[in-house]
Amino acid sequence: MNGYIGKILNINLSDFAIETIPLDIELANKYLGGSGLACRLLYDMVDKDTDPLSPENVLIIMTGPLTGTLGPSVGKYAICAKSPLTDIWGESNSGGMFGPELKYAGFDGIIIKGKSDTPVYIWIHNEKVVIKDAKKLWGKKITRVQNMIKKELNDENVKIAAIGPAGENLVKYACVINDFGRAAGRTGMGAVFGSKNLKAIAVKGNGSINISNSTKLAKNGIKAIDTVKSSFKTQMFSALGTSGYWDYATTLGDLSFKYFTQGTWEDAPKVSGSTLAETLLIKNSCCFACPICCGRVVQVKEGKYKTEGIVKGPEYETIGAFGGALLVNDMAAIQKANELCDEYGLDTISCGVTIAYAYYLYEKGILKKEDVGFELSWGDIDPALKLIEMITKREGFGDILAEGSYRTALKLNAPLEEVAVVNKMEVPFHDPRAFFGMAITYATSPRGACHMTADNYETDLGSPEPDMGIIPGDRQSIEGKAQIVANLQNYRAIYGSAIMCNFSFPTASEFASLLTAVTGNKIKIDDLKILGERLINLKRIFNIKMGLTAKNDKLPEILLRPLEGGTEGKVPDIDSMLKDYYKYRDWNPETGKPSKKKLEELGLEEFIKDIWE
Amino acid sequence: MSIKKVIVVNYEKCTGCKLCSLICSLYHEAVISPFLSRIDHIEFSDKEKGFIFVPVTCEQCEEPICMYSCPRDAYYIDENTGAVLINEEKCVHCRICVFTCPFGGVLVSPSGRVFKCDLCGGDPECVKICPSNAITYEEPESSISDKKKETAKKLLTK
Repeated sequence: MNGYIGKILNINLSDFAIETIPLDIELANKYLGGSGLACRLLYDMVDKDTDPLSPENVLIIMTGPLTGTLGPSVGKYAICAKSPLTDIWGESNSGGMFGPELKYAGFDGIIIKGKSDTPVYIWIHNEKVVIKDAKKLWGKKITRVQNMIKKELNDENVKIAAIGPAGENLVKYACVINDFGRAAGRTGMGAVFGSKNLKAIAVKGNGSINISNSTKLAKNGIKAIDTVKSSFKTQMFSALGTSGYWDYATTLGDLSFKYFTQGTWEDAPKVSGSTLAETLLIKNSCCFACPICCGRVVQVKEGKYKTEGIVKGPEYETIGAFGGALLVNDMAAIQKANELCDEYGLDTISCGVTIAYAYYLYEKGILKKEDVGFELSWGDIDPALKLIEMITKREGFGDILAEGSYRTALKLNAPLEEVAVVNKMEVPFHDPRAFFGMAITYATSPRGACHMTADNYETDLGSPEPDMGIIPGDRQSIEGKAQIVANLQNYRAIYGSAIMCNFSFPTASEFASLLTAVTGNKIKIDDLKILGERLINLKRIFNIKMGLTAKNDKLPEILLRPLEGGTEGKVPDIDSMLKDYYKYRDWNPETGKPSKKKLEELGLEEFIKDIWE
Repeated sequence: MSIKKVIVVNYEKCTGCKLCSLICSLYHEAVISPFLSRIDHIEFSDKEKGFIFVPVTCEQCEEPICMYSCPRDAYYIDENTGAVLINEEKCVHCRICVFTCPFGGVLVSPSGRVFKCDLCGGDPECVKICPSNAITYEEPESSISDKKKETAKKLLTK
């Protein structure tokens, strides 16, 4: 089998049964790999009534055919399950070295069912699989866990994906961290690990990945890497990290402040990517096969926010949450929040935005000092740092925030239109008022408010892919926007199945030629179009099975209030764009279901009965 | 005799992306496998600098210990590139060279085959693909050889 290893590891943690099953090549051809293949597998395993944190939920870790091969930024793997945060499709992918190592160790993916009675970790070494005791690791922070496992296995170069105490305590937005601070951040996959008493997975392998046409892959891979290397975006991400976009985002209003209620902030430059580079940065950190190296390695050497040695620096989104949304203008303070989240295993977006929501409620008087235990005032990071600890341990008011913003609002009887979530997942820092396409992205994303399923801001800033119908336009126009976002969703869904990092942007024909050289299946642009549409429709069908309808496709009102600054008081007409979107997708505007005709067209006939009868 | 070019490692520039290993295994073995690559990077966790990656490959020594220790005279030096090469027909994969090489430059595949860097015939693929210029192909100078000794020393003492 080319590109794939051809084997999937199947583990039941309830009885420690371990078996290797062959990869179903028909499914792989149809859904490629990564989150697409995982979604198809999970569809048969969970339903509407499955409690995401029960032993009945299934955790699927999946690589794609490009993972671990030669191409720009192809070091990714996906973690999928029914999400405890959104109660619908959950997926999160991460870079680093873990995904490729899993393939070299002999598996395309791992399916984990059941629940262990006691804490365990899984050790995979060249197809040998051992479930090991993790009692001593329970309660430990992530770097510590990695070091302890490396010591126990007596190998510095083992690749480890682990959860922190937040995942153990089932915080709804707990994440999984692998290697040096690379996070599978969103949708609470860390809590699913925790619910199964699974602390970590360690892998090491010296196997190979067979390639259909190695000469072509060498040629096409290098060409695609060169395309990525020479782009302006790569230079910026490389020099300044993801927060290299910070200043521009501020100018455009793509970054809003004070829990999405303020369009400008005079202190914004104090926490930009350039500031980070000038103050805390030590060097870049890099994922597998990546010519970009956007990761930051930082250290705060003194003061109250001193880091524990050298640590992973904050991303754009993290600074957006703990800087912009809280109006905190001190980079070292933001870094402290970042470090705590990385060590406790919390998604910095959902955690930061949920804490900002608490500050917002405090200002409104809905929350009082006696509810929280201390005051929450804009610009003051210290209460936020305390809340991170309380959320992780589910102590006091932290127990409420650990459920996420949406459930916090329900608990406190706060107005739901002011919670910055879509399908219960916290909104990240690409404001739909600045890029109207992001309104559609958030409203229709298969995993709630996610900017990665269609990064339309990138398109409108000038990252076109005309072959895939991804064409830049006026960022605040709704004309044809829904269609372009749909095309981008399709394309990014293939990225999530292949798996390639969104930050790598070779041309679509280069991307197709990589897939062809690796797998031997002749993949052309038209095949990519159908594949992408099939993947998005599959995830839609999954969500319909979980009870989602068109009513879920909406934005909270707080994101639709006009702001001063770069957005010039404009707001997107979401209803009009949604109408265009459903029509283009051939989805029913009332039920949100894909039409029978569409499903037939995409080779998804097998689901017609489930969703229409 | 003219001075031959060698692969020079500047480990401070290495990001650990592994592209060198990927292209190497693809070029020589037609599969992707860092374990079958002639170049690898060793990963260290350093308190002051964070993670450090040191690319390690054959040094193509002027006085190759691997060659001298070979009981079958399977080794020879390429006249054009100066690469220390293995004659596949003579080699019996006894691995003495693997043990005598002080740099870890001679390797064994999971199937027991001995292999090493051949400088890709004078146009090393790893050098061409390296996005951070951490590995270059140039004529050795005394400073470079000093640096290499230091790297080797570090590898040996770790």
